Amino acid sequence: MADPYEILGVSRDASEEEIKKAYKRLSRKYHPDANLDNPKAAEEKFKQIQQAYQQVMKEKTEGYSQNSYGGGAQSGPYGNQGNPYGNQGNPYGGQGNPFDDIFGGFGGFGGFGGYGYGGQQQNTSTGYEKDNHLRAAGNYVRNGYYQEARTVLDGMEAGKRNARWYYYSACANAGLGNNVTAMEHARRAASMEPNNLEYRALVNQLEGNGNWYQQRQRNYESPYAAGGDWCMKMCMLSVACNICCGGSGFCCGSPYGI
Amino acid sequence: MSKIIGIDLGTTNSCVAVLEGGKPVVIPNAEGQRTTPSIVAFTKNGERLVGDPAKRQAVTNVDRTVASVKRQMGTDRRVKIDGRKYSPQEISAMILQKLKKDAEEYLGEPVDRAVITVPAYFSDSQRQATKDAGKIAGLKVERIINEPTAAALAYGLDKSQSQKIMVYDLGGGTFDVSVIEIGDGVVEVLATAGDNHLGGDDFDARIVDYLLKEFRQQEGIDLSKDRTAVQRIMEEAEKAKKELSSAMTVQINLPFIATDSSGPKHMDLTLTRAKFQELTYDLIDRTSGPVSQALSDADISASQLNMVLLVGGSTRMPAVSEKVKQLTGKEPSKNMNPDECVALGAAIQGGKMAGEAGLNEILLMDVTPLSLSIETAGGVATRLIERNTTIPTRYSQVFTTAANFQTAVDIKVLQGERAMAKDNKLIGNFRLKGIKRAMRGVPQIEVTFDIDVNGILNVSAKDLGTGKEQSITITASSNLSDEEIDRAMEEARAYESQDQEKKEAIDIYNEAERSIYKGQQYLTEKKKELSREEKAEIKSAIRELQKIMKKVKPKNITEEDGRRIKEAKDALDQIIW
Repeated sequence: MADPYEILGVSRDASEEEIKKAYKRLSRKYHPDANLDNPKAAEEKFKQIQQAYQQVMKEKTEGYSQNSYGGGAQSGPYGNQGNPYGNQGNPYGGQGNPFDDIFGGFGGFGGFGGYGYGGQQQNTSTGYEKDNHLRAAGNYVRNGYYQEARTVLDGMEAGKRNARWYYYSACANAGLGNNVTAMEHARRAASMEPNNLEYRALVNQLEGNGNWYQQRQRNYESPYAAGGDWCMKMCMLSVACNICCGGSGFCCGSPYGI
Repeated sequence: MSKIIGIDLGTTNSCVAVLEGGKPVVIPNAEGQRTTPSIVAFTKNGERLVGDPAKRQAVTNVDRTVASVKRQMGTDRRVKIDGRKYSPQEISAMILQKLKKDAEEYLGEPVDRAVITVPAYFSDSQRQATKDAGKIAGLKVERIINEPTAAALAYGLDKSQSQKIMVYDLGGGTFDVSVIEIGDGVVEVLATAGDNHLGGDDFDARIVDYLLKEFRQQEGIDLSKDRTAVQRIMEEAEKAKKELSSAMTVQINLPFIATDSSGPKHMDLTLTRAKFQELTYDLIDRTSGPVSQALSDADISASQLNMVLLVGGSTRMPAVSEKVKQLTGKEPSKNMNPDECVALGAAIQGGKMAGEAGLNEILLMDVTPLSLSIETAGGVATRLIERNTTIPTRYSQVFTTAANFQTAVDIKVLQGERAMAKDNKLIGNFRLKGIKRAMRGVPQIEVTFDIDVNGILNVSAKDLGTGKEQSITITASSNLSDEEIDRAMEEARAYESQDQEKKEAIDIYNEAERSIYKGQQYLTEKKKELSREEKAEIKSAIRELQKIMKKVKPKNITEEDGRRIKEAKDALDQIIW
């Protein structure tokens, strides 16, 4: 349900006029004042409509490039999901060329300086709760905080559990040594999105090595002996990132620090 | 179902209206006026005056008269009168109590619910303070709505054709400008801008300064320290300003304004409209910034406006409508009474919320006037909600720690448009503790801003890794705590009955004074007829009563005092009658 087009009930190629019309019709329907018998529930729905409308209009004006919700063919809704990582190439980017994006982004890093996210910041600030939480879970997984990752994942509604959720859950469970659950969730992710190479790679990893965690550790010690292990690469990224950004006050690859 | 009244709680004047038979009507006050001065006074014997009676005695009781308290809403300023400190909320509540009572008398039924308007540019804590004032006055505030929006609602009630209008609202103390789209019963605010400290009071102050200066030049006397004189000049200035809206010159005549060794001095000056406009030119000019900002935020040009609506008494000044015309290229509409249309709009919203037939189609969609952000590493203000976002709304964003092994984060909530935190207004602050030690960038803290339909913000922060959560409803330190509100409510309730008791006690006191006088007269008149014992009896009764009364000050007389005075008075009365 996080798809803003779905919330507004319009197609992706709807004109601005059509979107505005749909938004007006829905706001009018769900404004708390139009639902005096049940204002709380209406308010909830109204807030969703507001977010969806803002998101869609932003995409219309800024184009789909960075922020397409399922617009890209490859990895479903997370193609570029709200891009929390600023400009440095979307870590979840299309896996057609998974690492080019990342390292390409690195090249540009110097220029970003302290808070040079510029226009991209706009994109980060339009995510939905679901994405926020999944993103947070991903960040915990990449940093090896598996228990925290599970706390976030377990806190998400059953209805919001998609392939990416199962993928992270598999990573977190593997990290905690729950190999059975990890295997189960990795397979579930791969079956939900059969074309996703990352998911398949994880299944292979878990099946082949039996102990994903150890494998990951080994890789960590010799970083550039890169296996097909995506999680490990992410790990490397975050290490490199911290070095890169040292002292800037911002952690690249992470949201703003408070 | 009981009626929901609409209240325009203004800086200088307030107005109350109600929906009757599908039409909003202004409720006249007990003095027969359609608007009530927002002035509260405490007389020397402790009586409370609100509205016209308070305004009338302001000159002779400057120290105990409170005006323009709306300008203090949301601050921690207190008004000290007779040793008691009053918050702006409590003073506002006294005005609301009076309006409530007037409405009850007009409707012939109790009123306990209201829609209250605030300037669109009011901040979160100012809105909260207004809501609290309503609560203290015994009113459930069903909704806080913005003044320009209310005016647009009153204007748009019978308009079916879709149109974009600008509401230019220059009141007693605040200036708002909103660009609003009206169509099919939906009143949707596209953008709003303004200045919380610009209004009619500032124009009066310019005249006052001018008059003080002129008088000093003519007579060599500085009146600015003489509060009574200043109060008289202020009243005259306000009157002169109003007259200059129709007249070209006005005579300012204040006899006996001062005295020196040569005798009494009188102020007798002429103020022309041209001079007045020269004195206040820059004030009017200050409205042009918000006007162009509202237009650009609404993403339209002035030529796309169908209409410009003037609201607030200050828009009666010819220079103001001239300025509006110059800024928008449109002749502003004069169809609506600028003093009343805000209250009328509030009454429509009240009627809608009370479920009155025929208003289902009406819908207000308002926006938040200022951007909201939190402070992030490096003192940056990171926006969560942009200004002019339709409310209610919610927005969440995930943040992380800025330093290694940081176990707590301070969530500093900011309001304003500037890039750096320090340039914005800090409206709330809280700490989320117990974050697990980790390298910076690891902890994931979700911050959620939630604005309700009244425009009041609630902020929460959650450590996603542990599920721990902290939240606050933004009430700046200036705002009252629940206990303080409860106490003020009780006092306000008690006031109604206490006031009655006090009045009775004062009546008894006055009667007792008469009885003493009468007793003394009796003694002189009947000197020869009375026996020595009788005289002694009367004298002792008088002394007894005088003794009791000496201990009591009428200003803070209690019910108990009244009872004791009455006993002694009755004893005296029995002998002499």
